[in-house]
Amino acid sequence: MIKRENRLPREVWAAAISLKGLWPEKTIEKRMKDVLSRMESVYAFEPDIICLPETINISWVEDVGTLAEVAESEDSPGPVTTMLAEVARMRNCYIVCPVITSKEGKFYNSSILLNRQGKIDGIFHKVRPTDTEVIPETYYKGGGVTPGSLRPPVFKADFGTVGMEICMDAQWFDSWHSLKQDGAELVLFSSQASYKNLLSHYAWLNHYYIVSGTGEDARIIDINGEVIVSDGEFARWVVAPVNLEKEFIHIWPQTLKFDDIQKKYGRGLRFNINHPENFATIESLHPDIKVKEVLKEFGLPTYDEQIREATEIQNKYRI
Amino acid sequence: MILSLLLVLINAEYMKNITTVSRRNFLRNTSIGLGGGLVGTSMLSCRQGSALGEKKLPREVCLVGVDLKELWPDKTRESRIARMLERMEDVAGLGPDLVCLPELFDTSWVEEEKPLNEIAEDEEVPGPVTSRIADYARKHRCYVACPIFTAKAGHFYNSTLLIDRNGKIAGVYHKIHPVQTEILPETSYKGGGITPGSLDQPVIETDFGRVGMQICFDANWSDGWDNLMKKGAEIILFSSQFPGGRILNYYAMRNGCYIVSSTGGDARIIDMSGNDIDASSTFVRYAWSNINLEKVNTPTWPTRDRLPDLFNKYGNRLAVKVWDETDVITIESRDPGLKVKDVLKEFEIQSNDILLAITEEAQNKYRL
Repeated sequence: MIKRENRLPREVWAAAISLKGLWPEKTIEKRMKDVLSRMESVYAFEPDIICLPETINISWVEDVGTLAEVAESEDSPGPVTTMLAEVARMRNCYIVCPVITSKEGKFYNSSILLNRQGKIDGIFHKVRPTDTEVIPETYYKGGGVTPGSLRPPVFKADFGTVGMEICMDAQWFDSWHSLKQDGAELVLFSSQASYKNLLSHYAWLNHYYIVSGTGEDARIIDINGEVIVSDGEFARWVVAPVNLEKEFIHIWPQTLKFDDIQKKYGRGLRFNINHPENFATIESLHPDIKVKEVLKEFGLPTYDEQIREATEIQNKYRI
Repeated sequence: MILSLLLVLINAEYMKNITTVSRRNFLRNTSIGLGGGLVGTSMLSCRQGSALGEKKLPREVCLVGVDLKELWPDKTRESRIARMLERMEDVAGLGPDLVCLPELFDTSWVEEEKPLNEIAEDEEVPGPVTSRIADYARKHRCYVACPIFTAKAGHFYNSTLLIDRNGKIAGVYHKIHPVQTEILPETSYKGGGITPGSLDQPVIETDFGRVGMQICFDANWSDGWDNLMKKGAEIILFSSQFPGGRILNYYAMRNGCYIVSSTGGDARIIDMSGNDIDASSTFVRYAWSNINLEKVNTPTWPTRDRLPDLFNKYGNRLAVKVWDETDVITIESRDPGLKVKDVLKEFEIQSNDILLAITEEAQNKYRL
């Protein structure tokens, strides 16, 4: 068995599970039992992070009490958080634990990031809840949830910088963009709905990986928007390695130097060109090759650097 | 489907009656038949409607994108223009309302190189190239997006001139985000460089709806597309050297508008739901479709729940399409007397943009 220590330096094994087939459900207890059972399928891969779907314990569950009864305190872990924290500790992985949380008298539709020790590393509040979630007594009993900050936080995991988003957040681009600006390399998307193509678009627009666990599917999406793996009727979970030692570039005129780079580095680098879109990714397959250093060596800008430089020149010459 | 079969039969009859058929014409004619058949399964293609005596719907528009593939490299500008006009004639029989051409269609990948001041044309009075395209527009009673260099007040622009059905210039778009080498004098172009267009570009009123334009590298910035959305563009014309791929599908979905692309690699008609309707192919280098502007994007939920009632009341007076990949249900009126907004009101369905506006209002009210 290939162990964690044999991986590339920035190789992260990401996993997600789908809720498909687990709803509708009668009770929270049964739901969590089924979720834990489904999670068993991914442990053999020693995942670094597992993403679960939105409000994992109550989505499409019949016997749910009021918000006050199901919300877990952000200060001291509640029952679902404790249960998943134990898994995180035992499996030595991060877990995105999406539950309703309470803080200073407000409720939030949240994703709690649990670290490998089962501690809370950070909490994300859904930025864009539906109007029915927000308006008290419409979707939830006993109140409504408060929308999170328009500039959500990113968190430093031991493998890289992660951000989170939840369900209807997908309909607005702003918070996804802010995660990129704040350095997110991997975004964990917990949702009831899949938001199929839209997630792929956000991946290439922001050049980060997206790991999604939803009520309909589970997917891992590459930084160029291509789906690396998705679940299906025979496996309602996904696991795949993603390599954070990868850069997103525009192919023109960079492509003129690809031959020289390939001649020098051969199998040490993997190029993936998306011809219609005119962008490409370059990924290091060797522990000693850093993609940024290769780009510097050959005088190639990243996509963002090129766009920044082009914008400056355009502004200078625009009347 | 019957219409599709008819077209294939008509095409087969035509094929029987010709004595000599070049490979190019054979492929072209065969492909038109097949392509028309495919489109005809979901909607009438441009010529089919009129050929069978059916009137177009009030907001139905026949859009065509003609790509540049296999027309480059080219030796001379004259050769390029002639070959493009020939390709444009191939689609004239469709009865297009609008034909979109690729970026700098007369000079892209043409060996013969002339300085900008010799080839840039006026933005109000049609120059030599614009005049020839204008002749086509007048002859076929259609709009044409004609992308060429223009000159105005001592500056050169990478532009698209929108020519109307009378051959007049209806509006001009200046590429907002040219690549660096286009701007810096004597780098990409002889005799100077081009000036980036103003960030506030116009939306042009045509006799069928509001049209906006974008060119090539513009696709890497969202500001121009956002501005066109704010100004109510219903169709965006994308003339380019590079195809754009998924970038265009994203903007179509984000803006809820149709996109016609005409590029160095392909031509496409993209639906407001973000999905391709038609694309040019190996042996047919243009894309076409009748699109309907009496149509809206609605969210899958809760529209899905209202579908049985919609079907019961309106049947085929509405065309309803579920686009699973983009999470959209489009509702389109196929009845001249039926407005989609009235149907939405009757069934308490919100369009995507209204739903998001209402939701955002609630979020802002409750956000700390």
